[in-house]
Amino acid sequence: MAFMAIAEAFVAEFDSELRSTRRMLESVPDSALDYQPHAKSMNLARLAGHVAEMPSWGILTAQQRELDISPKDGPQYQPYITTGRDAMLKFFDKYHAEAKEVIGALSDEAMREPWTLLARGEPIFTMPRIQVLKSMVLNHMIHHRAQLSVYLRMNDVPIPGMYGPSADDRQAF
Amino acid sequence: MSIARGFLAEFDPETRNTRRMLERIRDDLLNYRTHPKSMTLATLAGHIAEMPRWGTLAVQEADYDYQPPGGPAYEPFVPASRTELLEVFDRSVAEFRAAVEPTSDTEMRADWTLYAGGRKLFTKRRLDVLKEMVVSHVIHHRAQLGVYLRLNDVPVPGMYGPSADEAQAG
Repeated sequence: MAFMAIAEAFVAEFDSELRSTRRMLESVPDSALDYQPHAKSMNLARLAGHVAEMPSWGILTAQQRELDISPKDGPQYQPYITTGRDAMLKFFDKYHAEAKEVIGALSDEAMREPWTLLARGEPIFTMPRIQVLKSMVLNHMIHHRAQLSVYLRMNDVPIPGMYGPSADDRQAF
Repeated sequence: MSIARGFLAEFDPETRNTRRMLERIRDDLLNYRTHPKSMTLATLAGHIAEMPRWGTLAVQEADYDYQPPGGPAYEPFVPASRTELLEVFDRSVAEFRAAVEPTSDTEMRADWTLYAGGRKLFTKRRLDVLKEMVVSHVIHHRAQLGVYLRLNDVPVPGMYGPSADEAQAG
């Protein structure tokens, strides 16, 4: 029934959201990287880094059928932590381009393949790859990007609107 | 699977998570805001709760003007209590699901236009409008709400894995 291949439809949406993400990342000031709104929360450097690394998670999801986020014998997941805006944007752009290519090449069959997340060898969930891409990559990115918008606003940094104008946008919607 | 059913397969789990976040609100926090430019918690939560109503509108009509010339501008829902918030949310979700489920693939792919004061803002496929406004946009505001709650020391439910309040020691 496919009107559009699964990968084509997903990449169109992912790319659109990635362009919005870039605009948010461009707003991150190097001066506020240590900002931490609460003792339990990530600081801005870690949160911005987590947003910036999402395309690389998309690539990983495309290229593997499973991932153990804390393997018993093996290197633990190292989050990307922003050390500076320019380096972060370079990192993001590189993986944005690669993600579009790698994910775009997936067949409908590959998109429907079961994909498993594990921790210490124990499965946490198994879902079709397209569902992992939609929820754990795309929606997860939207979630953390929105948290980042609050961090920036609390530092009086003007932020771009994601779904319509932000309070800082001068243009009439 | 129809496009509508495929859409609901994504909408439903995200909506369960949205309810879990909304349930953490306390009445004494409704006026809290993180910044003078930002929405109050009540406005933010209300915006999330009524978003499925926009979805119902998008299913039933081919376009919408939210500042109709000569007509009243859209009035956002601002809850007076947690109880009211959850009632409105549950109702708006139920109505939206009932509206979208029988929608044909042709109708889901049809063009939908948003206007402001007679000026066209965009035309997109209905299914893209639904995904963007009712799913992605809600995820965005729900995450902001999570920060509002955390700043008031309210334990926050994890959305894509455990939150810092849920992470088990060891």
